[in-house]
Amino acid sequence: MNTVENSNATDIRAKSLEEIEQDLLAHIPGWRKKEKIWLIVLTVIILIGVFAYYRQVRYGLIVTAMRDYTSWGIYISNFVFFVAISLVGSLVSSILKLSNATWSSPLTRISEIIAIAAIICASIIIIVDMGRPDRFIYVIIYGRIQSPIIWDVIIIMTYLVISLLLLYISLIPDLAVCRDRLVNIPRWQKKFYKVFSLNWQGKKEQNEIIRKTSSILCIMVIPVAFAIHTVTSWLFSTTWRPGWDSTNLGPYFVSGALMAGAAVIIVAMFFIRNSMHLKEYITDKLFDQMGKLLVLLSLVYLYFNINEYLGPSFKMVGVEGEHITELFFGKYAYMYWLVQIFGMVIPIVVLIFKQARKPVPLLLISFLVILGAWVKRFLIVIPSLQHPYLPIQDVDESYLHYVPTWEEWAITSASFAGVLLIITLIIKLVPVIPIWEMAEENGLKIKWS
Amino acid sequence: MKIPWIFIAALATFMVSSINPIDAFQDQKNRARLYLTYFKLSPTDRFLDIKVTTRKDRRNVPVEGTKIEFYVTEKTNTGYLGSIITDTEGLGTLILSSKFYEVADSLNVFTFIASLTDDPNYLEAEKELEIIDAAIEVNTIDQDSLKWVQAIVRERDSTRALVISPDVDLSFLVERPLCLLPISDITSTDAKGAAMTPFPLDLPGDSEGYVTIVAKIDDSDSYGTVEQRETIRWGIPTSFDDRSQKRSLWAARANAPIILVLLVNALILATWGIILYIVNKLYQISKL
Repeated sequence: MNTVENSNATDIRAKSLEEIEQDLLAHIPGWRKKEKIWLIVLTVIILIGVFAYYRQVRYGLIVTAMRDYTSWGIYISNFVFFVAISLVGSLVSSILKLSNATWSSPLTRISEIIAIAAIICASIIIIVDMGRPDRFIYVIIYGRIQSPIIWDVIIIMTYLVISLLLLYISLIPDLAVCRDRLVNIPRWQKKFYKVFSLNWQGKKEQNEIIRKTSSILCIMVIPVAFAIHTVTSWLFSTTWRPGWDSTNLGPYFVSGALMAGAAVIIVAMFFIRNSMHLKEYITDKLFDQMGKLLVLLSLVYLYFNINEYLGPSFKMVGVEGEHITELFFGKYAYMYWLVQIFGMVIPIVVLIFKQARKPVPLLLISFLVILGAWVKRFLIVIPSLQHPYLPIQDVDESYLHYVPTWEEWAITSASFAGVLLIITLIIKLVPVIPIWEMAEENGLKIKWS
Repeated sequence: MKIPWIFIAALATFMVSSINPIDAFQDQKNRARLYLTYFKLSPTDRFLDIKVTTRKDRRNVPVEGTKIEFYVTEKTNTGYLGSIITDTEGLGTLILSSKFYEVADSLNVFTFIASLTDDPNYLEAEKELEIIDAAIEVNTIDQDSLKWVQAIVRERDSTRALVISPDVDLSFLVERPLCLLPISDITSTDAKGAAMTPFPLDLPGDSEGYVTIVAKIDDSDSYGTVEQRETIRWGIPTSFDDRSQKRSLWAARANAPIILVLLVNALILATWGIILYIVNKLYQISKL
């Protein structure tokens, strides 16, 4: 195994600049048949979601299964999931970078692209959840600064802008490479590279600005990323419902987000490596490192999980006790235990072994983690809402159950397709691994025209 | 085989005439019922309420979105008061405007007509309501540590003079934040057109002790609903919980805690200041 890893590393070091450029720009010109089919599939899913949303706007939220009790359905659990995923950008491009984990540099751009796609769709899904989306502007005009919802709106917009800058700044030299090297591309694409490469010539002063602004953003994105998910957790913890009345919710959300984000990166790595033939860049060793990171993050999340459930399950007080009973032994028990076992405990145990940190098994485990992370957010949102502290007398039967309608599933699926579409389009437009960073690491100097 | 052309032509003519869409539509029209009521909250604040229903599956169901026109005295342009479209509950309200008062100044009895015409789903329907103009005078009497409310009911005669109206049922109520609180049973006016009730001494008023007393004739066949209000300082002054007016996390947006406003704005300014600084630096790249 070591031989393979070393040979991969040696291969890249042995490559000339032209070869690196060729490898990393190869996927940009033209659309292959597989790519076209992939785009069509995503577009169809999105169009079905748009139709479902049209029905929701036309007939109101009555087309969903949300009622007075479960007023936040899978839209909000999906929103929390996307916000969680978006933390991956700060994890790789900032936390790992600042801690000198140089092995992660090929993943920087992938993680930033995922972060942007996830945060855009998280913002959209919040508007989808509104019964009157035309009134969204009132949230900004008449918002109360005391409301965590306003904090969330502010922090999401800020995080989106910082993530875009973080991606864009590291892209400028690579856009200049695209401008100078790519020939068989449409005119609009040439113009795009020319405009957005900001007249990059690789001058010392330009390099200085890139380094300085990257460093500022790398530091700044960490508190903002932690804030985005902590504020999201405050949406819950400041609402008086069983299961949410917890001081642990902030770190519990952040640690879960980092774990889910790491799993998403692994899945993205796998498919990008295979579809773009980047085995020499996204190496088995990189999978091994990400596997170890996933174990670490899963252990942290396990710790906060124990904190989250041990106290209330020990006391079993009133409605809080009913909520815990429903999760542990009631109608949500099968979901809860499947998530805890297959989405957390099994990945931790399995990934301790090196064989499981190879690409294919790691991919399967990451899928389990992602699925578990989504269902976990469902379990955070829905069962709590079905146990209000002040129940309605003679409540309608439909309030007591929540089974999402086809419209909700279609819109949720469309949001996933939206994330994948944004990722696909960005990846198709730019090098997915930073060329200039690879060149620098190999001591090569790019010639700019 | 000989084709009976004449028979086929006659049959076709009959079938076409029998499926005439206009005739078919007329046949499907339902019967609507109108319920009209009159309200006089003060001499210058009067309105008409309408409720429109229809029979469906042996039940009365509201008729939504139908147009009702209102007239006074006669169904002509002169008597036209206005129109409403019924809501989802089959209800609508027409506030009587200056046009009504121009006519009303010369009448002692108002004949209101509500009319449903030109609706593709319902047959024409009409409802008439005859109302005698009435007025209530509210007097407050504070005597020997007891407080009384007196109401005198009068109606207009044919000369438009206000005359005493005996044997009219009315009730006394007090305005509360969300509804009217009865302070007496329904009582009838005497031969002098007067009715009286004691005022409870333990009733909370506003911060200065003001309460608004309402004398009300409720849905009378002759007068409709007529009210008269009188505000007097007879209540117990109430100190209101003004916490929502103070700066707190639960207050309105204008009363956010100063420290929170400063903190959040400082964070926003600092973060977006850095973002703008970086955008400016990016602009510099293009100029180098």
